[in-house]
Amino acid sequence: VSSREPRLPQVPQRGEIWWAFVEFAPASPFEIWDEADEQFIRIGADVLAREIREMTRSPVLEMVVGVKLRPVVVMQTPRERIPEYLTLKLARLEKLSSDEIARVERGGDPSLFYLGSGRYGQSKESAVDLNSLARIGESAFPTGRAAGKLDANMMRVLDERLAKTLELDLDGLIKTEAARLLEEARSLADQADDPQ
Amino acid sequence: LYVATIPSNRVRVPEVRPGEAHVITRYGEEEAVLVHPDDFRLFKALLDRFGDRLPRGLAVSNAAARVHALSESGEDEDEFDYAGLGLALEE
Repeated sequence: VSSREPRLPQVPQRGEIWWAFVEFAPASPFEIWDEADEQFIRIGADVLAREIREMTRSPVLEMVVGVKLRPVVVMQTPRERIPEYLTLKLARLEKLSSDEIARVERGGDPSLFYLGSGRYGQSKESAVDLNSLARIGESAFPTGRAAGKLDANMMRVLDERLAKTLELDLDGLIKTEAARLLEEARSLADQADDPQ
Repeated sequence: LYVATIPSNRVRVPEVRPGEAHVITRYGEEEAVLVHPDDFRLFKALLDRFGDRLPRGLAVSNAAARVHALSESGEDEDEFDYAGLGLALEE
């Protein structure tokens, strides 16, 4: 009997960095499978949309899309029965100048969150690309373990930067939370005034 | 922004009108851009006003746009991180 217990595969958690198969954003002209001719054809988005409108082509298509195995940081784990993760892609910085990398490192570029190298499972200088939000199915994580993990403070900064990048209107949420905290403070003050 | 002035008798430049930018390339890479003085003054004013704290619409820097474009075409790295992948695969 082996003394080593088999290691159970982990599942991605928020804040962890995992390798995953992630597609590139599709761009026209597309390469699609043509059912009638049984071959791939190149076709522009406008022509394709017209063919779908004219019902000469199905709106559900098989398309050739580039995919890369790459590290991502998990921003959201599956919501109940939806087996998908919301992630941000990591990008390497080696094509930038040393001045540009220094700017990213000191937080001067809101779209790039610096991770450096030799940490978080990254051997080369990397950053989280805030413009690269990607939805990934749970079966597209091939390693069974995380490459690294960002701490709570780093995730808070990422959350704030992502909200700004996506231009989310959080005014209503902030006002509601501010009103709740104000009410809580008033209640505590009332209790302090009236020890009964 | 450091500004160097070059007398016109030392270089040959095309006529540049307001709202135009002439990109000068070398071996397919962008090397310099010629713009009209009015546009350059606007650019300098924007830099003076916002510096590193660009407003939302201008918040994506050239560096971030380049990193994103390279990353989205799989060309952001000179060499794939086989060692990092191996560690995650517990090799």
